[in-house]
Amino acid sequence: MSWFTFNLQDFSISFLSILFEGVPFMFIGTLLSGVIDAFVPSEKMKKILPRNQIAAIALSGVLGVVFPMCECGVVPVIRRLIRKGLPVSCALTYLLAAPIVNPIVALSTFAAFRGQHPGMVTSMRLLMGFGVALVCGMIVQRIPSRALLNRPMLASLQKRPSATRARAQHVHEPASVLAYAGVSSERNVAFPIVSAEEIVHLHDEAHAQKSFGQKIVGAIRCAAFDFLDVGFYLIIGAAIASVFNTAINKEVLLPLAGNHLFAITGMMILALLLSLCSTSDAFIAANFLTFPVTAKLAFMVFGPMMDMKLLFMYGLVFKRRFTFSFAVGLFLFIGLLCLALAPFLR
Amino acid sequence: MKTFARILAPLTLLEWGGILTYFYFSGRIAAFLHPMFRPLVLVTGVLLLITAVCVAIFREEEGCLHDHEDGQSDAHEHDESRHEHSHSHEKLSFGGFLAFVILLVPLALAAKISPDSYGANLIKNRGLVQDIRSIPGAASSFANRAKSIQSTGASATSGQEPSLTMMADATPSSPKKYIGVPEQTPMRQQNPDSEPALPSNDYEQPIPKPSNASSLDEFVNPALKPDKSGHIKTEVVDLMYAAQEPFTRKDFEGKDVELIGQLVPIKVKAGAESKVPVGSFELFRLVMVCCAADAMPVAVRIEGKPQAKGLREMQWLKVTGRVYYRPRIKDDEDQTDYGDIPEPVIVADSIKKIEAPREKYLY
Repeated sequence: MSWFTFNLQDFSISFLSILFEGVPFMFIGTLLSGVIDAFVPSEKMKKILPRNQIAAIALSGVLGVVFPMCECGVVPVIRRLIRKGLPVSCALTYLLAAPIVNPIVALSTFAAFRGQHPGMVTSMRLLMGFGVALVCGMIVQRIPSRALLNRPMLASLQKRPSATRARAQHVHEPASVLAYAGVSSERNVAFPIVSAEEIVHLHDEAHAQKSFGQKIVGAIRCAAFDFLDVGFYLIIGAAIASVFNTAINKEVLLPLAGNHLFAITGMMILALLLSLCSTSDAFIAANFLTFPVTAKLAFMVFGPMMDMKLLFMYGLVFKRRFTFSFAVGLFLFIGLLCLALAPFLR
Repeated sequence: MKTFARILAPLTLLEWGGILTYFYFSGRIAAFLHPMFRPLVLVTGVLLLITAVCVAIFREEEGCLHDHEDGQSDAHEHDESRHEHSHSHEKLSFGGFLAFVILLVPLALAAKISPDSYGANLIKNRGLVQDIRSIPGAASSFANRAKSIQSTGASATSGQEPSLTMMADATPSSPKKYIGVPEQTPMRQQNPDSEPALPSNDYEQPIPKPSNASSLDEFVNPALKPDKSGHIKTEVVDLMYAAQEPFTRKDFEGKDVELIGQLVPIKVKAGAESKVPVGSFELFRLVMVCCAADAMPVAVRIEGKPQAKGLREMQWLKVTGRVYYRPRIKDDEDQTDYGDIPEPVIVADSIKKIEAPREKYLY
């Protein structure tokens, strides 16, 4: 029995089904992103968030409960929010927490683990997901955003003044502000957006000039191009995931079950490769009856935060180097956490 | 690039929207998604088509007037603002013609070549599910099953009454809503004082109204009533469920049933002696939670008659036979702890080839 047998037809079924499942949610995400772009002024963002940064990060995590998003839809929204001035740490926390800490996922996990301590598994999954997202947010908060965000993102944060100047000439130009923002790319500024508060204001004034209809059209156009942007990575991710989803023989994993370390590592790699939706991955995890609970937890916490399609989609927001080291860090963190929990569970 | 994008962007949206709506209306979507998600595909498809038209009609002058998608170098930006060349929506972060090829081609190709059911290879790779504890989400009611079997025409000729109407009369007490609660499967009705007959995890399941049923004493779950030929219509999943619940098991033990599924041969290791009688095979149905990517084959062993030999792998079959629950025959390498849960085995009295039903998955 070979562990890898590829079949194009099986592949195409899996590929299409991942797309059909993901595209509607991704589309909702991009629509939301378009609406945010056209209607939400950037200053609001800062007013909503608490001043205390830790509290702000924690709040972003809790937002996942209120605004549940699955992992396909959350990326375009996050991208837009960062451009609107949401601190990267808060954005990342929401990005990681939202696909796990939400009522739909809680219910499906509970249902999937019936007969296998559903309450414990569900609460552990949500708690771990929330905790890991918080810790990641706090770590990222200490890193300057030019080390995190990719070039287009940084550019869109920094070059707003010039763009605004070019088009909104009626707006009085506080030259000093523009000059400051202009050099911010040369200087090593941690949060360019913080220094550019006034610029953001200008940007919004330009927005306020437009009629409602123009805003709607703008929102649709933004949504459409966001959709193509994210769709590109969804396609690549879905294709890679489908290869593994249909071609890997599950039996090769079974011998790993006996050893905690191997089981946890194996399940996390599987989560990475399968790239399942966070609402359905619990059913796959529950299917591995012989595996320890910790391995299933690792699968269900790591999977929604990092998988093949997300690896590509994160590239839309973050630097490639950061995405890669983040994936490795997350892998080690969740793996060690589950390993540490092993003596207490079961 | 810019002109390319101007044409290709709406074209891509058009293709995606078109494929989504096409799959919905042609019914091919059934091969890929849980019924719950299918309307979403239609809505998204239509909205994508509308978006495509919007993007094609409203040029950038009317769009946002500032840059959103700009991924170009600084030099280029300056260039742009100097020339008052206003727009950059058309610039996607990945850029290039190749990007559109990736957006356009794989989806179209996959839509073209994709069959409407998985092949044998996948079943091997996923592995047959031997223990229903892994997929409790699949427990939908008997009534639904009967309905779906009827609608597929798999059992078109049998004189079975639609059981939904009978069910409405028969459910004695106010129904509970199960949202994944009980450790054991809700039991099928044998006496009227216990649980309602059709608890279900199915959100779509209409909640039957309680009524003053006259013949409570003789009450039997209508879905368990044998049809004219004396067979209870059932599904692979129901038999597996009953396996872990002694009370429910009685509903099937020793009864004649009729079920459909696909054939997969029982693997025997080279050199090892088969532990099951010759002519046996597994009859499976794929159970889907969300989409085809998570579908898992659930199987019941059929101890057949010699006629089963001419059958090919993956052939759809209608099997009638008697259900037995036997202690599990375990593979040496199978380390799963099944507890004392027996496995259902059907000793077949007839095995017929059938056409594939329209709904190939169980949900």
